[in-house]
Amino acid sequence: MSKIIVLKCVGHNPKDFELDEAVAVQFGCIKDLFHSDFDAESKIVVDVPMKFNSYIIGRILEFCSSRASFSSDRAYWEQDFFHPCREPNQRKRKELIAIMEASEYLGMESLVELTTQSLANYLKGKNPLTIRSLWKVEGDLTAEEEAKALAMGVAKLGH
Amino acid sequence: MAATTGPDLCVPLIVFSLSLSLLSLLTRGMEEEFAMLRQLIGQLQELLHNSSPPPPSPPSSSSSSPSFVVLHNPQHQNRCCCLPLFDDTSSSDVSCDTLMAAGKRPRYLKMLDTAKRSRKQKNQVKSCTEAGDGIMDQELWQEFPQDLFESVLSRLPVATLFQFRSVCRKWNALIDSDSFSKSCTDLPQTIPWFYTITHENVNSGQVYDPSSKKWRHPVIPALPKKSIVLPMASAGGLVCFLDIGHRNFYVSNPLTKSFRELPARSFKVWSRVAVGMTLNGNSTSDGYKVLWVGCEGEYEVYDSLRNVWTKRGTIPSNVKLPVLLNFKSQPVAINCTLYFMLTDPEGILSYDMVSGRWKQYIIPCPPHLSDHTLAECGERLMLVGLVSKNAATCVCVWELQKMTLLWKEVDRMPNVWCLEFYGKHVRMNCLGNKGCLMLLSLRSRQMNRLITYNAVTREWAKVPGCTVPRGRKRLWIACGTAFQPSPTARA
Repeated sequence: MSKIIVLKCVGHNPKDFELDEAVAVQFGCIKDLFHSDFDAESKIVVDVPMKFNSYIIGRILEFCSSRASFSSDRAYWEQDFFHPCREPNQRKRKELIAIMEASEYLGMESLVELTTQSLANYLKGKNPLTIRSLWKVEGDLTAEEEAKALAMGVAKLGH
Repeated sequence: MAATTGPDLCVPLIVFSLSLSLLSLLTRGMEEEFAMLRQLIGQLQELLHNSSPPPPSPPSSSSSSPSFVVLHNPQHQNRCCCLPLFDDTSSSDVSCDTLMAAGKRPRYLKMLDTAKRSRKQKNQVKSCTEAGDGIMDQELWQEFPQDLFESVLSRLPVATLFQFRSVCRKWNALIDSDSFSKSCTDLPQTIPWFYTITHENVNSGQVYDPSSKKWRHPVIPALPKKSIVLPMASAGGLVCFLDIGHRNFYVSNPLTKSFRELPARSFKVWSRVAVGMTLNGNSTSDGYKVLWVGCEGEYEVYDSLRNVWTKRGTIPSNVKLPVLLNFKSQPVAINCTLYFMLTDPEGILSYDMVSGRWKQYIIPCPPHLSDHTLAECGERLMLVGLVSKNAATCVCVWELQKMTLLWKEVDRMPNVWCLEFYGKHVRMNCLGNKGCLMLLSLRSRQMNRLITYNAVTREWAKVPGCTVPRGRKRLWIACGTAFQPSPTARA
């Protein structure tokens, strides 16, 4: 009898997702469950924390099932699944961050890698002033400290 | 209480339009203009406050109350975007999609002028979490999970990381911290930079950054100014320098200026040396070792953790002597083993930094070879050199076949480029190689070309000439070594 794992999402739009083995083994936190013996009831329910809503889990499972069926060519799936953060689209950014968090929780390393890289690409072009306004922090370095930080920095290394 | 006619309808409509333009401005990343519009909305909001009582309905209902702007995204039926116009409504639980008013060039820009002239308002419009305005953006970033935050930061290019140090104290400390250094080193290697010395200016380095194709001119203040100091080797982001005159070694991170002068060596006899450097583990925090080998086979190893020279000796006689090292070729480090090029007999000499064992490999060189140098790409040993036949010269690349211990040609410089050297006497110098990228200098009487070769992508790229800052004269690169730019490596 094949084992089934159910991801139970609560919150705004509750939904249960059934995973088959090919998909579930991509989650670090779940794949062990397949190898453990559990009794006649070959169905396990995993409660997903409320902050990961069903939409986000759905997107992650989309990614997983595409990778499960086609094991190669990561670039293709990145492009298909993965919206570049260059787009000035807040919703996508929030989605991206949620996917990153959820895939970390579920132990899906490749997706964590993709999402963190994409976010890094988004931040790459920003100057420190923009960063301050995004994080709502004060530039609290003294002129000396700032000079020291920049002096060590590449900004001063080049012209 | 006024009926919903006349001016009472106008204001919500205006606010609706403003909100649309808000969204469109935001999508263009025009945060400043957005802030001004927000002020204007705040003012209008006050106006609404004063003219009619606030409605009690919750934001998630698709109400037709004049106080809510409801934008529907046709794709997702149960979702809507609401812009509640009153401070006391909050809608953090609603998941929304924004309707992009992209392409709508605001006639609201006229209102922008009004906004610019308006006084600053303390009140801010609270928007729903998906409205895509600056406040939500801030929440998004402020609530960013800390451990993943470091993960994201560590994926930034070095240049950006340094700029971000100036954001605030917390960031400065974070980027400087040990834990951050760990998350950086867990990543696959980045593109190396090249620390070079020019003939004209032997006291300061010219650093080439292949990813931005720029030359940078760092100064390492702690290096002695009066003597000639050459970059000999590197590991983990640190560069090892040798002061030719006084025969002292220095180790430094060219980016952070972290610096260490190594203690004096025990061997009194001095000759031309080959220098290699390896990390003990994954990062400089686990320590590193520096090895020098002299002409007669005498050698010594420096251990950074104990800060002493150890393992002094002479290359054992089971290695076929005399051993002539090719001092023009820098040794190559793969994991904890150093590989040196031998001229006679032709081949490679390896030293295992962990076991302390020397091993010799007899490997015949390809024919018509000159100015050759060892290189590494991942786990593979490579050879780069000039092959001259009649009047034609070309740069060729070989890879060592481990099973047969023979060099197999895997690439050569594009013909078009080689034509430039036709009939000329060319010398080649390797100015560093690491992580599959190498910098080569090709010189003839009238010409000085710098090129990089990437052994993985098989790309040959031209390197812009190096000039002093604010100068025009192209500098003549003498020697150099490749290093991984690391904001965290400590000497």
